[in-house]
Amino acid sequence: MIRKARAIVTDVPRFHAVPPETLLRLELWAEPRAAQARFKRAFDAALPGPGQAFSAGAWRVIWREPRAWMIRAPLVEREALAARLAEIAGDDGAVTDISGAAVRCAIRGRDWRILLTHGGVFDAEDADFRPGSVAGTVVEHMSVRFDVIAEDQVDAYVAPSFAHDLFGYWTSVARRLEVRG
Amino acid sequence: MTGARRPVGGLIDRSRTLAFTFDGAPYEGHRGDTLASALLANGVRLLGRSFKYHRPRGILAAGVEEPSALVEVGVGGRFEPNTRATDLFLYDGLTARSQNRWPSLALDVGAVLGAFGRFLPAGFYYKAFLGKPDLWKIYEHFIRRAAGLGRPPREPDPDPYDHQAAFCDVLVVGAGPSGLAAALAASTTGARVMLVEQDERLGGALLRETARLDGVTPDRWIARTRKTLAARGVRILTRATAVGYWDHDLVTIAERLIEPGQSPVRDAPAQRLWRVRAEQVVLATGAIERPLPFEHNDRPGVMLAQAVRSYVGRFGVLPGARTVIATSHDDAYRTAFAVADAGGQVAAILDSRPAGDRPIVRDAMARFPVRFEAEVLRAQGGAGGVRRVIARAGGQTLSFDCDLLAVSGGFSPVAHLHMQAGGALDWDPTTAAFHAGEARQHQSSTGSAAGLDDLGEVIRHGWASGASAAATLKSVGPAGAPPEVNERYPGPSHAVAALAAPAGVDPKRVFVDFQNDVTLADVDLAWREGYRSVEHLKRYTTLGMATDQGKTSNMMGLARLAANEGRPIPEVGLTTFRPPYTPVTLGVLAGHAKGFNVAPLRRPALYATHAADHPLWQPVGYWMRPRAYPRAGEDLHAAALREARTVRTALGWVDVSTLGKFEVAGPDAAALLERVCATTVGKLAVGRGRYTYMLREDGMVMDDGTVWRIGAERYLLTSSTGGADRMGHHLDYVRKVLAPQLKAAVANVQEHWAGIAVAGPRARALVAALAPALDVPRHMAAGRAMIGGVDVLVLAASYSGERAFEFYVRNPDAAVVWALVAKAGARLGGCAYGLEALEILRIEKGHVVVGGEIDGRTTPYDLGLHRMMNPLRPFVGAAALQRPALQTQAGRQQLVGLESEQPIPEGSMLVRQAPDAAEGHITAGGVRVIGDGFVALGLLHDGHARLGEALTAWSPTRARSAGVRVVAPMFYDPEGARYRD
Repeated sequence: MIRKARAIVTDVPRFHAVPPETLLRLELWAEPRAAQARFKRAFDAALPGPGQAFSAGAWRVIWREPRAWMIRAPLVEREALAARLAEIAGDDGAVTDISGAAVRCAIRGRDWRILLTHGGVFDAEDADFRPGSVAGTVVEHMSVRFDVIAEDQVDAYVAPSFAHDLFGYWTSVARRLEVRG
Repeated sequence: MTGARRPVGGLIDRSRTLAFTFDGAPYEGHRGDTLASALLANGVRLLGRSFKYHRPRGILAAGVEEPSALVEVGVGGRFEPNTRATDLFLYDGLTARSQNRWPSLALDVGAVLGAFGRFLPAGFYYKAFLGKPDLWKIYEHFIRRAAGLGRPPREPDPDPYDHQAAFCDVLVVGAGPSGLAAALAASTTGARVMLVEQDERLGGALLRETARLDGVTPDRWIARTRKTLAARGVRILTRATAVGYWDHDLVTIAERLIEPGQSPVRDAPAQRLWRVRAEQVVLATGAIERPLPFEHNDRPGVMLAQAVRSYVGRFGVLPGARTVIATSHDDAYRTAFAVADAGGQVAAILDSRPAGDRPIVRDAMARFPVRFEAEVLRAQGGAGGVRRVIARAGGQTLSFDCDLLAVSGGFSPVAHLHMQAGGALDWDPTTAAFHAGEARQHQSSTGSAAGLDDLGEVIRHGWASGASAAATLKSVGPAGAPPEVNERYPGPSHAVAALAAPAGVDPKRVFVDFQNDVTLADVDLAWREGYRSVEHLKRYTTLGMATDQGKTSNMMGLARLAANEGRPIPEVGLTTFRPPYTPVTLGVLAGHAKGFNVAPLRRPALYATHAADHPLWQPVGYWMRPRAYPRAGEDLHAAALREARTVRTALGWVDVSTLGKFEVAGPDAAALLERVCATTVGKLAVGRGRYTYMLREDGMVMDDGTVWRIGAERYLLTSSTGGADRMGHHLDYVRKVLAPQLKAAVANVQEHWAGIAVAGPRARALVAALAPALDVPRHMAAGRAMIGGVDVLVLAASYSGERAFEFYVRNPDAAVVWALVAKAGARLGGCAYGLEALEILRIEKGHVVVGGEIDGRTTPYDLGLHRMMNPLRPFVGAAALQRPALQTQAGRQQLVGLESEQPIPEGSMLVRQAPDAAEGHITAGGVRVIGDGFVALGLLHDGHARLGEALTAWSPTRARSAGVRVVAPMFYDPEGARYRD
């Protein structure tokens, strides 16, 4: 008779979908050095490298793919952010509004790593996946992108059409994590 | 025999008594018991009936290799058949039943089949099918009733199942002595180590042994080791079986969180499937003891010698009062000591080897009768079990009264996972065993799985394997040293091969595969009938094809085949080990994906809005879209026709949010689109759009949509819903591989923009009403408007054949605009319409659709789209269209329209006259929206040249047909007059 009781879950993850925000995509082509320099002057930081992200005040700059980044900001700052990014891109890139293309889900609780090992094949328990890291994977057939904010928070970005099912899945898994203790 | 539980001893928790039932009778056991040990403790030795001959069967083993003691467990949706009693840990309230018997286990009518065994030889089914076909009608009923082992559950499984991923540096499979030592060594290096064990306790063979490790008893050493490993961060899973070893060192592990038939705590999962990606895998999977071949070797009371020791040492149960031990090695002598020390009587040790002079043998001879060069001829008894053993030694026939016959014919290392990983096997002729040879992935085998059988050597080898696995990653050796082992009788067991049956025994009574009732005679018969390959033998006799996959039987059958062939066993070969190592439930494979969750559901932005109107839904890939909005008394057809007619006569609106959408920006955006699209798009003025389509590199049409110039250096490209992901990849490919020099950015905005299409003769009036400030764009022009305070991109495009517009709004704002459209549209006599009406409208207009006419095999010429294309431009697919086979239009399936006075069955074949050969097929069919008759689109051989022909649309599977006329594929407003205001 096993009926296991593993007290490994100390802080069951809680999560909620964040209200609509501004999401802009900055994509650079060719030789992005000039645009990178403009970005550094504007943000006092370099554009994040592969798998990295950083915060600049209320804005979050997230690496998305080679030479493309996603920048999140409060909804009211859309125009200001778009203008600033367009200035940075100049003739070396383009800015596209993708605000409606993803829903952000903030997952709080130190055991978010355990939650993210369910339903996929992502190594969320790797110690190198720490605040400032971003990665994309698939959970239960749904494409999702993670952005580690802190040791007790990770943001998940998912297409709005998948949000209901993904959050439902995570809810059911988190509930089971609770009863495991 | 009754009351087999010893008053002391074992690793069970005697302070916790658990109640359970078997075949309705109440029993009690203890925490830590298996169902098998608890039944033995209660004097129950008959557990079931065999598959084919309904022979009485008891318990052979003490682990997952058990072939005989299969029971049904649980009730309702938690019912599970064919559960091994030896691998089912007791819980309070467990309900188990014997299977494959009627009306009762003791009195089984099916046992009469044993008397007719000679009529049920190997290949019985195959031979039966060779008879007269009509005979099948007679014996089908009986064969179907007899086929299959156990009953399937009748109710849905109520419990959740889970899938989880894990990554580690070193995965150790098996927590016996070598596995524990490997985990200890690897964990000292700082490596991420994972240890999995199929039992509920760590320890493996140590749980039955009396050796001392690091000066303490095995159970104390195991507890101490577990604590040490946990402190080092080793992830330890018990009740977790590594069932599959796949490419790239992916190991799947089925973990039982509750026992079969048990209810989980609240809604916790019943089982979890782990997908473990390991850098190195140490296989410490042990070895399986083999039975001996003699007559009636399947009787209850015939048990494997190590299993007897497990029941005595681990469970505190003495399975028999008077025991005979038959062996081919020293290890079984330990069983004699264990039985005697527990108060049992050892009638004899029958050793197949010549006399030896080792300490364990000497000590045994001092306590028990030991006969060398002895072999068991038969086990006598009945359904209650063994009563006498007939043996032969030194030319004499011997008889021993006993109620337990403990046998051991040597050991088969568990090399299943090693072989699943592509590893080779090596043959040891002395012990007649295959063990792990060359590895193909990052696996190593250790302990008994590597063919070792001295405990000290097993532990040292395990330590070295763990250290070696970690060293490849951490470049440091292990701290400390392997545990010290102190055994009374150290050293190897000096096993010899014991796979051949004694001379003179009846092969029909010697069982090889206990679960499928395969005898030596069956193997012989198969060989005589020409089945010389072991793979053919397996399938003909079903040897090794039962749920135990021949864990205890394969070698004996293989040896018999080799003997018949006159070849060594390795030359005969071994069947392939395939996943799963032990049976797994379908539930754990499905995980979360069952019932409603079998696939994720993509909800468009307006999903909740639609749901309030209770439409009929249509799955489109993962998307769920409204198919129609029936009103009272309407079925799908009536609703769709009403909606389509409303579009033709007034106004309709439909959710098109799921279309693929991409924004292409930059000075080279037009150049990029010119590479992707087969039509000319580079000359579009700002605010204008056009229909386009895209080709694969082989020249076949891949998708279609529209392209809009929405800024000086910015375009919006739309594509089909189902092809959106493919189009995203295609754009990436063109931009990053074919044309990386272009200064263009591509953003997938499929879900950023929700889309609402409004169509019909009053669509312009609707736009004017909603956006009074907008200069209503003409067909294929774009504008921007504020509707209800929402910024809306208005594109004048039509898929219905009517004047139409598409409103694109940011996803969160879609419901606001839809509500305003519905309110204003209703005043204009309009209604919402779904996919069914959309389909009827587009068929009538002759628009092609991906998955229907665009089926991956059609060129622009086939679909009549070539007039929009300049084949000299270097778009993707242009070069392929220059191939001679695509330059000629003759002999290809081409798009045509079809008319009829009768309904035209979709998917039907186009024939001159049924049942002629098919010359094409109907891709989509529907009713005329206005007027009478039916129309369809189809692909027809040389169709463009066959307008006016009369054909038959014939669907033999639905027994429907309709006479059709071949016409141009456009039935409505071919001049496009209705697009103009």
